[in-house]
Amino acid sequence: MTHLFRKQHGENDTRAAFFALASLMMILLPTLMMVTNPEKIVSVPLSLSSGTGQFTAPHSGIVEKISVVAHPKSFTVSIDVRKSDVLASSGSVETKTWELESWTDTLKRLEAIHKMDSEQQKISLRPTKNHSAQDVIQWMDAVQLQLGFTEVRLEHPE
Amino acid sequence: MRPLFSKKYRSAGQLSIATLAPMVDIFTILVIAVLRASSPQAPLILPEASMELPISQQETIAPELLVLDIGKDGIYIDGFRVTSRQFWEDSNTALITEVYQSLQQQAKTHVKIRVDQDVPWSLLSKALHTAQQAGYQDIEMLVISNTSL
Repeated sequence: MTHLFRKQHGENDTRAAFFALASLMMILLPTLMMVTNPEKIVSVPLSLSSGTGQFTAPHSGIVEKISVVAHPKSFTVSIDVRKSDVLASSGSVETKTWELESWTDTLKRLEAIHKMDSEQQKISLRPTKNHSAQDVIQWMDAVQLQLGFTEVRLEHPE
Repeated sequence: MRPLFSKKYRSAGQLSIATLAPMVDIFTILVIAVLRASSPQAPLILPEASMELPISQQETIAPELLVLDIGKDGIYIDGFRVTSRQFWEDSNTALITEVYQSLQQQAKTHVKIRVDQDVPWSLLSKALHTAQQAGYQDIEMLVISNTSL
């Protein structure tokens, strides 16, 4: 009898704990849904190029500048790469340009460039005047979160 | 009779635990999902009912600060309309004078910009330029996280 009682007591304890947990969850869930806001507002830092001069010192790595210019149906990626001459100093660069038809191709190209010089964290992006705010945010998300560029500088449309 | 009773009692006990366990699991998952997808901030109040913010993958929660809104119809500062959107969208001038004056009167350094999804970059860049010219160093754009419910 003693063994039987002990066993029953243990089972009751487990059930009570589960009931308590389930009750807590049933109260917690509607309360959370009532007091919290289902629309989570986050912020994206924006940096607009002044168009005259540079804010910071130029990058000293292989890729000195990366810029993406959006066109209505294509993108132009251009980079300033330091010349391979051993005497080449900062600012002694050659410009390489790619014309790409889609944003996916542009991302692939930017990924390859980022692998060339992973220290380069700055990129400038120039949307056209007709591109929407949603387009710009999507491009910034992709460049910052997928590729890891920390500083995206936006430019005025031409 | 005795074995039958005890078996019945035991199976009833096991059944209740077996039923509760997945329910607790589901509730736990739901609580975590709600916590992740919601925000402790006050509900979003936009100056225009039809205005829709862009959606982003960013995770940085935005603090409450001075807000510049660009809706479908007008441009607002802290909820007060300062000028028309269409006029400045068509204009070739880079500085939005009414916004510039209002921002200068506020004399702050941080501003949040909320824009409708469809606002063209031409107007958004003018608003950014105007805020920079008015002396605002930190400019952030408020967007809706794509993890929202």
